[in-house]
Amino acid sequence: MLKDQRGAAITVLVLLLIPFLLIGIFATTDFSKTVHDYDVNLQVGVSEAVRSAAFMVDKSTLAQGKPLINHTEAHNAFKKILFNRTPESQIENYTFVVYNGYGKGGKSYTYRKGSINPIENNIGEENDAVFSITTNNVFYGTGENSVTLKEPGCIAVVELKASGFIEKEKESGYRWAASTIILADDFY
Amino acid sequence: MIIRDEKGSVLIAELLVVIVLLMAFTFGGIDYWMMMTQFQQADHIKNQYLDHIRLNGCLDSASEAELRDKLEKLGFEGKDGGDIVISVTKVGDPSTVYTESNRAIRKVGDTAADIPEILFTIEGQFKKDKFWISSLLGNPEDGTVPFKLQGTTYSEYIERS
Repeated sequence: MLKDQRGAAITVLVLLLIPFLLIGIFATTDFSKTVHDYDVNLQVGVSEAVRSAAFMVDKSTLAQGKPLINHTEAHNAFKKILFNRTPESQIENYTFVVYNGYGKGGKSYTYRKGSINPIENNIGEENDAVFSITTNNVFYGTGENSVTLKEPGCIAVVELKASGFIEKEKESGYRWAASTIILADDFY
Repeated sequence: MIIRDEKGSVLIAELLVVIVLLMAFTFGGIDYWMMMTQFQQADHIKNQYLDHIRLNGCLDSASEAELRDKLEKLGFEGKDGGDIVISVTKVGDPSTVYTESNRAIRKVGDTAADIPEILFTIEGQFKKDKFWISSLLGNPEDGTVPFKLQGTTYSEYIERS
């Protein structure tokens, strides 16, 4: 083949094309990985984590008929389930809010990558139970995406920067979720 | 026409040999694709029942029978003529099996470490219903392909007294 008039032209062409074909194959894999990382792992992880956080009710308050969420345990449960679903090193930021209402206020935990511990902030009892969610934070008061907590509940927004096959530096994605305790009709 | 030229029917004979091989490759590809589709469907079914487990703290016998039925209809069977193995256990402790009499219960007022995590496993093999031509390639005697599906979830079953 190499000795005919065309020489090694076709072989060289094929060799040149192979890297492009490989890039194409990896890009397809990258795409499905991205969908899986954000729409499956992160979305499900955040909603599951927030739901589990709202489960962390203080037993003594339950006995009083006004269940309140234990801030610290709720934060622990949130971290446990979130980091189980997505690697901790890929989580860039998160804001986690526990709001109890009943005049007890709540607490917010803001984690930014690089800091060791999340920053804790108290949400005073005077605050409204309406929260607005932005791409990177949860604020008190109405906004574009707002959530009203009529019962004690939790809200979280998480930023994930998943690793890719080709690109090392990828765009990050955000997902948020909220949960509240709903008292069963026959609770009292 | 072709037969009468100098080469005789060499080309046709060649073609006949090559076509068989090509067909085997093509149908092999289709077989593989069908298997992957089956597996994906099984994965979806697994996720559906994982949700049952999340809410019930176990896989109740009615759901288990339903799951077995669905998997068998889809083209799966147990290994070596047995049943499809379905297990619902505690993560990291296979000896703790969750059943209707021993559910994974999430208690109100517990700590984050106490949230029960459940491991759901389905094991079996694909039924042999390949295209006959695919068996030209590969070993037709030992053609069983095993499958294993796993998922974990946190129980949300609360015992109300």
